Amino acid sequence: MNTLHPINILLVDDSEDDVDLTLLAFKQAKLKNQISVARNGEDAIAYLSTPSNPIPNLILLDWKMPRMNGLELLKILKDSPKWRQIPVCILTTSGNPVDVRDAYHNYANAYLEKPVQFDSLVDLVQKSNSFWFEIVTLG
Amino acid sequence: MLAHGHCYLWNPLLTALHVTSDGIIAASYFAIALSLFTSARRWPHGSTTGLEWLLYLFASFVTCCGVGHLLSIVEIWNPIYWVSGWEDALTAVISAIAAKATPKASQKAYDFLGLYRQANLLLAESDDRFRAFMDKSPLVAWIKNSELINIYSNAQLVKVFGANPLGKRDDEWLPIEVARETMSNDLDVLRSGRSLETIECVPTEEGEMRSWQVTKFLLVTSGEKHVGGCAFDVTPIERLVEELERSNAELEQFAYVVSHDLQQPLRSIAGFSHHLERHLEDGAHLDETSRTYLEKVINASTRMKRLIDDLLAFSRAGKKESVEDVVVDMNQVLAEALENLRADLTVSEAAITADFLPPAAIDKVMAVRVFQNLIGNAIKYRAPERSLSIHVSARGEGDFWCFSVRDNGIGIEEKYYSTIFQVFQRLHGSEIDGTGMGLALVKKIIESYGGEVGVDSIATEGSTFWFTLPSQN
Repeated sequence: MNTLHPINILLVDDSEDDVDLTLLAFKQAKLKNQISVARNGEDAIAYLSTPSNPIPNLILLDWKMPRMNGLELLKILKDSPKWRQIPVCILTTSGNPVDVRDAYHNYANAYLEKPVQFDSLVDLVQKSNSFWFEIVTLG
Repeated sequence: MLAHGHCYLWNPLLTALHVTSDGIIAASYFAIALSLFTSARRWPHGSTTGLEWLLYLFASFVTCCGVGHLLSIVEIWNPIYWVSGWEDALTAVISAIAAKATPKASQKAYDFLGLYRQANLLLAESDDRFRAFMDKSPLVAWIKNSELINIYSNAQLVKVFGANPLGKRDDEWLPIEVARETMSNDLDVLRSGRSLETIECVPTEEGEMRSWQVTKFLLVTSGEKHVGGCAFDVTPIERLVEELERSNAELEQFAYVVSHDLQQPLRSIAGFSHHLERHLEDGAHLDETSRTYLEKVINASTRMKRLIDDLLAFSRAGKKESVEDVVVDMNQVLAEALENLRADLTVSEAAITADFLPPAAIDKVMAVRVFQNLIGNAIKYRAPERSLSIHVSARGEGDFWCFSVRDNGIGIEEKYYSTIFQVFQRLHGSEIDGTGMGLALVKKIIESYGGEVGVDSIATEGSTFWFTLPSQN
């Protein structure tokens, strides 16, 4: 769909290892997306509020973060007329039904559990990439 | 015939003496007759004593006597001797009847008095017994009339609240917001006539707010409506429940945080080992030993991940997801469990037979997990020298069904029967895959639905794992 424009993804995750692994997974999946990283909710807001930064096509959001956590950021994003159309994918370790429910109650677009095995992570990144940028028509 | 006045020689003093005396006697007789008549009218209806008729008889008799004295006054001036004669005759008849009835009636009155005294004694005894019983009761108890005034309160009530509310409405002796609640509940009972079970918060003498499990009910005595009530202090139970709920929530939170936080470094270990392997391969620096070590690291992290997942599943097991449990078709549950185990069943070439299974009260997902664990164990611990056969059956035990999974596997020695149901307890080393959580999970699930689990086994010959579940909610 967006082959003419580079696809921008904002990855919001506090764990350095997880960020590295996710970036490696994108690399291994041979995805040439533009990935920006924010270390917590506040960072993400700062990034989105800077006019020179492109508006991301997808936000990958960790749930458990210091300062502003995933749920708080999700609420702000979905409450904002400017940001609410950006699809938000929760990408987290927690499979807790309460967290899943909270995410969808606050209009998360998808909830993905981070796999421990790297191959599964590559697979997940590949599949969600093809879903969001090949199958789905984004607004 | 001459009037009596002639006999009195019209002596004014003598005439006055007769007239006045007869007048007073007649007036007194009429007064007595009136009160006898009134008493007879008021006599309780349906009384079997017949005493009210004697009262009517005496009232008539006394009236006749009174009329006789009135006639005596008239006779001083008018000689109406026939009239007074007939009046005497009437008095005679009535007095004769009264004289005849009196002994029998007075015996009756005497008996009646005795019965009355005895009834009073019995009543007092019953009242004493009631009060003694109520005062020894650990329950706080009271009765209020239809105006919500306390007409009875037991000793426990006075002791706990340090006040006797007798003759008072609740708003006259309790804090107003407390009284509002208690009185509104009383009115509900009075109006609806239905008993009410509720929790009321009422402070004790020391001013400490306590929760009371209260039962209020309508009492109708002699056509009067009352509200009776009794209560006991559930504050200690409430506190225990609160504490239990808090510690359960903490434990759940703990398990969740632990599993979440343990998984993060695990992902790094697995991910970077993978990359190290790839990186070294690319540079052709990976010798066989390094590859083996790296594989061990990756396998260990996979196993750790399974342990964490099982621990998480265990901490969530038995938590009721839906408010009301349904009765599920256990045949369908078994089919689903077998479907999940299809790969293992094919590899092990297991022969599975099952009787028709009755429905049981349990969450379906949990039930599948139970069968999956038990049949999975039968596959895991099969005897290598013979082909595996598994049989699933059920039998009724009162309000419960007992389901069992019988296999011809390696069996379990009796001394391990209880150990195997504990968390992380295993009888085998790494030669048989497993985390030691399966049976602990089964036990937790079954017990949370009110059932029991157990095993009967003959070592080297096979095991029968059984669990019970209520047949309905």
